[in-house]
Amino acid sequence: MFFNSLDFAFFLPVVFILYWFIANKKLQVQNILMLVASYFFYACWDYRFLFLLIFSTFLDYYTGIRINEASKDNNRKFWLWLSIGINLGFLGVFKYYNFFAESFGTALSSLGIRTNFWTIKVILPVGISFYTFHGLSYVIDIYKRRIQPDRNFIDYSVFVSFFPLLVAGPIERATHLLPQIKRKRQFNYTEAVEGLRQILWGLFKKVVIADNCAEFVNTAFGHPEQFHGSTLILGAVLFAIQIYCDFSGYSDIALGTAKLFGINLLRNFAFPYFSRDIAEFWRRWHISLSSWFRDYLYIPLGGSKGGFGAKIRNTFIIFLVSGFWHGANWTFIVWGALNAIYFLPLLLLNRNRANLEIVAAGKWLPSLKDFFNIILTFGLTVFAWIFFRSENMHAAINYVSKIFSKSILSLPEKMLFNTSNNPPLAILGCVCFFIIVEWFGREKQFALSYFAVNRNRIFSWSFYSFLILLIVAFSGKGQQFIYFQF
Amino acid sequence: MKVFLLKFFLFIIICCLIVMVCGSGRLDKKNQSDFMGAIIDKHRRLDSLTGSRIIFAGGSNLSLGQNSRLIEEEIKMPVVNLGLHAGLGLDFVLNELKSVIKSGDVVFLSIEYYLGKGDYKLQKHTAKGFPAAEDFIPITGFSQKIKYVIDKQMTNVHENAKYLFLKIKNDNNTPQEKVYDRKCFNKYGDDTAIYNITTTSILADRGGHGIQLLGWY
Repeated sequence: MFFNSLDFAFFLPVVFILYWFIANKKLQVQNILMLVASYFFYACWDYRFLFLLIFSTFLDYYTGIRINEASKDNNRKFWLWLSIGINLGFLGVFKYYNFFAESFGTALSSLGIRTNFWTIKVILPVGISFYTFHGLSYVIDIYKRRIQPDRNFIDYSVFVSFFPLLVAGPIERATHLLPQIKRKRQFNYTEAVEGLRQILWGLFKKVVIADNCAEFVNTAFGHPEQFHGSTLILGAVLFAIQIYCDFSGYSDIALGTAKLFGINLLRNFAFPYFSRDIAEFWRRWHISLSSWFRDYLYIPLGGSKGGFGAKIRNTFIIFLVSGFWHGANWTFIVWGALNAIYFLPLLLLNRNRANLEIVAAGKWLPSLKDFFNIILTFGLTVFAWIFFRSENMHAAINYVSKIFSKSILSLPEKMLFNTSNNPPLAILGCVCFFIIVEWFGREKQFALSYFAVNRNRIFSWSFYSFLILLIVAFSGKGQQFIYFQF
Repeated sequence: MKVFLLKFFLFIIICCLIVMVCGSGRLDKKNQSDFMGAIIDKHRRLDSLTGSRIIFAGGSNLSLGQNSRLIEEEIKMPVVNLGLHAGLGLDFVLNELKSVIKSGDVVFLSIEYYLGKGDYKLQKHTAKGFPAAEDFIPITGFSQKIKYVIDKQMTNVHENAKYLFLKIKNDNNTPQEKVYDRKCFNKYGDDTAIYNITTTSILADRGGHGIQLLGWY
């Protein structure tokens, strides 16, 4: 059940009405309803993996209690590593087994050793990377004595499988979400309206911008040999826009949906393409994952406190693991490594926290220096995205080498736009409109707030209606959310 | 909560009205020159014949593989070849027949191996140029009906917006093909262009046809 499907448009109001009108008397009933709705939502994807989700939930729930009850440090460690081992084991089997088997086989054959490793055809359970990380953070937090284990299995299950965040995040923390699940929730008009606005903006980003860009991007990355270098640059830029609108659109819908149920989720994006350096970009892109790696990997490794060598090591580890988290492919690892290379100079020169505030706060336009830095950062990001998007390393190298050929000086070809479901001019207009709205709304939680909050009702309602008309008129061919595959 | 729901439903009603107004009709009705647009001519011929008729119904095996003129001359009864595309599905073909047959007509139904429920998008595309074909699209179940109504409105808005943009650009996006085009049909409903090209060209065009089909959707 996609967020941008008619099924979800029926599912959401039904759950909303049951939640606030039928189950609102008792918190436990509300949580049971939410759990049933979440499991139904997940089963719509693939009911077979529902058992894996329930098992993973029970594992972390149980080991959390055992860690807390264990008196000896060794016992605490045993339960912690049991949970980590099984969680990562599942992730390893479903997501990484083939990658390791094939890579190891290739490495051995390059040494002249013939091997015949078994590869297995497995379907990746939707959202496994996300709910595994939920569970891991919970167990580690208990081990570190930051939180107490939850004794209510229903509440804990809602924390893991709350349907807005179940399949593609944001990756929540028990310290943030569990208290909200355990607290009686009252309907909040302002929050609910804000939630609807965020859903609307997320839908626009996904259905109009991301899905339309996807058609051009698929053409460019599908047949790079047919295009000029300049066209391929355009394809890579469009992919940067596509992946942002796809994922942040999903996150907006997730956050907005959660607000309708009186729950605030962690913010996942903060206008990353307006960043002035890569460090700022990473504070604004997929925030819940970046902060997860920071808290559970980077800081335990020593963070940026060690010597020169330790700083380099830790930076590379966190970016490589982050890349690997996205999928079992060398392209993701190279994408991570490129970002580490971009980031390291800032860290070593102690410039990684130079841009903490949003660019040109309170102003209409950025300074020339900021503008130049934004373009430079965006350019570096786009280059790294080429590896992220490519099917394999061979395709990525082909794409890059075709860009840096003589044809880079030619005008982009019209052919790129031939496959479009919509007039390219209309899509270009929508992309410009999107960039303008994002720019003006960059100081808000999400862009649409700027054009909606404290405005004349006729203006704001007209604006929303216009967005809905754009969604209906220029929706692209339905594409799956990119991050569902992770 | 009441205020929220009231405002929400009011807003939804406003949006539905806007979508209904923008999608109330299709601006590109007359712009149907592709293969599926032949349904218009086939039905026009059917309507023009007053007496008993021989009607052939089926998929593209009929549209591309029959000599209706010869049959008409031999049997001395007017022939209409309704065969168009197997992707329309058996239900669509039967509904189409049901809407046109009269007492005294002779009907030949040529069932293809793929005459199943049909491809909804192809059916919608066919109805784009021939609105009466909307009634031939099989609808089962309430939820599907709702989805169909919503989809119809949304498709209309989408196509109208596309049409307006193309008109501004003065861009004639209609594909012209040697075999798979409305112009290739004769008055009986047979696609005769297939006889005018060499075998190699047919094969080449069939490859093109596959790509073009994607474009139709």
